[in-house]
Formats: sequence, structure tokens, C-alpha cells
Amino acid sequence: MRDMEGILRKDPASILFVGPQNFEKEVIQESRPVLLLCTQRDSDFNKQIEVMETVHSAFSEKLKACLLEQDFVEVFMEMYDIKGTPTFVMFTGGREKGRLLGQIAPETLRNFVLRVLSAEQRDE
Amino acid sequence: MQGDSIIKNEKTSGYMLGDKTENIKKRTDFIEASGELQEGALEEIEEGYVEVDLKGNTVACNSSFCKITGYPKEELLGLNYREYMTEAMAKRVFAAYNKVFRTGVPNKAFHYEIIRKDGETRIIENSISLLKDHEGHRIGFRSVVRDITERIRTEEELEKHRRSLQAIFRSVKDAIITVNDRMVVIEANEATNSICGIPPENITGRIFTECSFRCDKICHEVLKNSLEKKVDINEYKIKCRHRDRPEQKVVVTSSPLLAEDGNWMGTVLLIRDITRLSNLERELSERHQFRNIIGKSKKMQDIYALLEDLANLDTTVLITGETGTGKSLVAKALHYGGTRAFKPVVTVNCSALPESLLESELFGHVRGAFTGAIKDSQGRFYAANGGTIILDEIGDISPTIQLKLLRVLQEREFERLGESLPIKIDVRVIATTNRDLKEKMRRGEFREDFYYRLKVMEVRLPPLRERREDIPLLVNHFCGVFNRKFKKNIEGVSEEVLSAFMNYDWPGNVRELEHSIEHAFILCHGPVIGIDHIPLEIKEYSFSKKSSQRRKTIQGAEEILTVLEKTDWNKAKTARLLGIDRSTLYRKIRKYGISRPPQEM
Repeated sequence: MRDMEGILRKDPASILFVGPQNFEKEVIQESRPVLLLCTQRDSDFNKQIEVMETVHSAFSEKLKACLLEQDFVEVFMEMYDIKGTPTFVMFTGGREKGRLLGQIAPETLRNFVLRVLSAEQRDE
Repeated sequence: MQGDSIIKNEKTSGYMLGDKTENIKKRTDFIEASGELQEGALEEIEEGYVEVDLKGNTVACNSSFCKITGYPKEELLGLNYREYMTEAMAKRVFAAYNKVFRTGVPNKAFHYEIIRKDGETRIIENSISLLKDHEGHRIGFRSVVRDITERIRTEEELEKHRRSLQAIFRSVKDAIITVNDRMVVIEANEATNSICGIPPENITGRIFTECSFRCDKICHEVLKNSLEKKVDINEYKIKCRHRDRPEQKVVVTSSPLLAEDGNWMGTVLLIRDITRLSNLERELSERHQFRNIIGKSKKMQDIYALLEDLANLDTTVLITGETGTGKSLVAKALHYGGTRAFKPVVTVNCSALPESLLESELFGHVRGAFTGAIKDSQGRFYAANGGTIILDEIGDISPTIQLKLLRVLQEREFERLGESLPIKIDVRVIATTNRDLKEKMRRGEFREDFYYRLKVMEVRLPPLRERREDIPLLVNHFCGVFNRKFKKNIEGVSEEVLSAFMNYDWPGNVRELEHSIEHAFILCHGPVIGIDHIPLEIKEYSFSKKSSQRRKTIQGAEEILTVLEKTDWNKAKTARLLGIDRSTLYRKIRKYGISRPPQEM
């Protein structure tokens, strides 16, 4: 099985790993919309990362993609009242704007991101 | 018309001309026309129409009836119904017709089987009514017939399918709960009892969210989410926090129930218990890393387990270990692994500051508290409020500060220098030291009460030489770190270097290993770090160890050769004199390449 986590860590242009040390800077203070994946490193991990990468590359610079460090998943879940994994969370302007539960297909994630971004544009 | 008179027709309430012949003709024409119309209409309908006499012989029928029976009209007319069914069936049909005859009440939708002319059995639905003449005498029966074979077969298939689905539904080990668009439970299977702890009959017909489940009801939220947003939710892993099974983990999938027009009419919730699988996965996956702490050795696995237990508690922790074993990393891991992760973490190196400055640094001071105190300072404990304070090298602090820290640990309050007002704080204390505190305690350099207050939980980090199997992992990790730092592409270390690393004693532990690799990265300009790139002391240590091993080898071969010559190459005697068995002797002879020189003739 591919070591997706290892591959991601070597590529600085790909999904960013986020923990308490950099959560504030990389997510809350980020000016771009942030798509954050909260998931355990289990048998479904690679699949969901690939989905996230597909969508991230479609939006390129307009969207920041982040993955929670494994050991911060439980803490983050408590903070944001997330009950299960995987959960995709969209942040804009430092605030949560929506979440998707469970394993999803790239198209579903893409549509979710578009919906959130469109809603943001309308509010502006 | 001349000679005509108008006569009221009593039967029809119409009028006809008085000329009887003309009237009869017209009436006959009318009846004939009506009859033709009626016959035409009967030929158009899809249902079969048949009239039989009291003996059951066909008197009239339409084309559809011919199609149903497979007989042409000319064969059907005069044919008895018994000719196109089995004897048993004929008895049933006779009974049905007889009842209609006796009661006069039509029999609607009577089903029986016929045998077509081509031998095929078909199921028909027959609506039977009495035929009477104009005087009201029963002269026969009229039937409207439909071939319902396909419908019956489809119904039977559907019923079979339904029973099969029911069997699967009952027996499957996953809980399956079906709700409509108002969240009312339509159906739930037996597994709902084993997984959710509630019998299906207790929830069927009730609103799902109002049922008394003994868990955190996360499934309810999943279901609501799915119904409100009209989305599928697939393989969502949750911890149920079931009162009877607190460790239970499940995977929840929510799928739509769609009507024919595609409208969402409900949801099927599938809940699978993955507790055992999840635990097995966890057991099987050997942990190579806990935050930035690297290691897969048994000692490190034990430490990871302990750190997980301690992370979410506020317990004071003492981390001990030689210099460079990663005490600060572990302290940070404890902070970031718990609920204080997003709160401040403050580190104080207690050995770096003299006592007077350390006290001020830790607890703060007010302006004028001492020479040089030109303004107020809150201190590190205050800065760490809500979070964690890491006291590095706690073994180096003076008894005075030990006492003040003891008060903080016990009372959760302190005073700033130059002030008597106590300040309450909520801080988790993690202390680290490479000193032997027990020894210091014995020498009176460390307070006993403070020691035991600190040592509520101790995490002892092993030196690197006690977990050599982690060296390759650490080498790999640091190569990755320095490749990124120096923007190089070094693949790793040579076998010789790895061997040197594995043999070295590492008095500086992981920090020394890290610096060695950084040193090698600066010198290495190729893809692989070689022996000449690593620090001299490691190279020399490795060389001297090899020499010592080689010397032992040489001694072994010389000794064996001497004894062999003494015994005139008698292997049994040689083995006895050397104190080894013969197979060992033969092995050593092969290993050292010892051979008897050729004898002179």
C-alpha cells in the first residue's frame, strides 16, 4: 500500500499537515478558503486523500487543502464537535462554513466546495 | 305516412308508427343494428367474453377469448369447458358456476387454470354472471375472462423476492433501520438489538430521534443530516459511547429510499460494529511514531501507550532520561496530545538561569522588587495559564525554588516577587531531568516532598544504545529532515555507515545521531552517505571495535591450528582439548579456512 502520508510530507505543494502549532496561522488566519480533512489513518485513509488531492488540484491556488496531524485528530474533534471520521470541513475567514460526513467521491467533494464558495461570494 | 298511427312502445317508452309491419321491420332493423354494434364492441375489447349454455357448452365468444384459449372460434363454439382444463379444475369451475346458478349472485374474479390448445397452462380470472331469456329463465352463463398468468407469476416472484429479502434482513449482522421522510421507523432488523441495545419492535412506528437509545445518539445526527440535506453518508466511523459497551465503534452508512419519480421518501441506515476490527488494526499496526518521537522498539511502544494515557489528564509528569533522549519532545507531545493542545505551552530551562533570575522568570515580579526590576513582569507561570509549563532540568534548581514550586503544585497559586497577593493559576506541570533525583534526594540536594509531588507519573526514556533497532528509522527520519533543510537528494547511508551507527555507543543519544547525520549531509555530495562523511569518533569507534573482533578471530584460528598440529590433526582429540564439540570444530575449521599443509613424501 502506498505510504500516502510519506508522499504528502515530501511534497510541499500538496496538502498541508496541520496541528495545534500551526492551526491558527494556516487555517484561522488564512485568507483563502481552507478545506480540512479530519480522518484517522486507517484502511480508508489513502482513498480519501486521493479524493482530496483530486479536488485540490482542480481548484489549485484558490483553495488550501489541509490534513490534520494524526495525533491531533481527537483534540480537534472535541473542539469542533465532530462525531466521526472522515469529516471534511470548509473554513473561510477562519470560520467553519460547512462539513461533509463519511467517505465521499471527488464529484461530491467538488460540488460541496463550489457550494460553499458560491455562498461566500453571494454574502460578499 | 297514410294509414300510420303512433303507438307507444311500452317496453322502450318510445313511439312507433302505427303500421305494425313497418314497426316490426324497423324494430328488427334496430335490434339487428344494436346486435351488430354490440358484437363489434365485444370484438374490440381485450378481455375475453364467452357465453355458455347450462351444460357448459360455448354458445358465443369474442376473438379475445379465442386468443386466451388458443382455439379458433369455429372449434370453440359448441366446445364444453371441460375440454380445456384438468378434471380437478373442471370440478372447481363447475362448483363456481353452480353457485352462481343457485344464488343468482355473480362471481367476480374467480381464478382457475385452463389448458390452451397448444398445451400451455394459463391462469385466468373469470367474472361469471347468469344469462336469462326475456322471460327471466336462466339459460346459461356469461363470463368476462382475463389471462392473469403473467400477473400471478410476477406476484409470486415478488413474494419470493420479498421473503428472501426478509430472511436476509433478519439474519444480517449489521443493524438496518429504515425511516420515512418524517423520521418514523418503518422497519428495523434483529441486529438493532445487538448493536444498539434496543429491540426492533420498540422503535418501529416511532420517530427515530425520540426512541430511547442508550448511547450518544450520533446516528441520529447522521440520519438527520442525510434527510435534511438529501445526501448519502458513506462509511462514517463513530464511537457510539454506548452505556453498556463504551468501547463500541461502528461504521454508519445512510442511503436514500427513493420513490419512482425520484423523490426522497426516506432513508436506510446501516450500522456495522467494527470494534473488534478497529482494535485488531490498532494492535497489528506497529507504531513507528508518536508525534515527532520516532521508534518502533518495544520500549518505545510502551512509552507511546503511556503517553496516550497521560495526554488527556492534568497529572504532573516527570520525564527522565540521559541527555539527548528526547525529553523535550515527549513533554511537547504530552501537551499537544491533550485538551490543552490549543492553549499556551511555556518552556523554562531551569539550569540556564541563576537562582535569583529563575525565581523572577518563573513567578514574575513587580516594579522595584529588586535592583533592575524597572517594570512589572507576569512570569512564565502566568503566561502558561490554562496550558502547560515545561520545567527543563528540574534537577538543577535550588531548594528555595523547589519549595516555591511545591506550593504551586499543591495550592495552584503563587506570588510575584515583591508582592504578597496570591495569584491562582490553572497550569499543567511537566518536568524533565537527566539527573538522578533519588541520589540527589539522598544527598539532601533535592526535597523529598517536592520529588514525590513531581513524580506522580514518571516517563523514563531509554538511551539510544538500549533501542538500537530504532536507529535505521531515526536515520531515515533525519535524512528526510536534512534533505528538506539543505535541499539535497541524499538517498540514505551506506551499509558500512549503518553498521558503524549500530555499533556505536551514542553517549549523546538521539541528539548526537541527529548531529552526526547533519555533519554527513554537509560533507556528502553524492547520493549516499559514506564512511568518510560521518564524524571521526564514530568512524574510529567502529574501526577499533572491528579490530578487536578481528583480533579475537585471529586468536581463535591460531589456537585451533596449534592444537591440531599437536594432535597430528586428530579432530576428536583437538575438539576435546579445546573444550568444544566436533561439529563446532569442523565449522570453525571451515570458517577460518584452516587446512593441513601437504605432507612431504
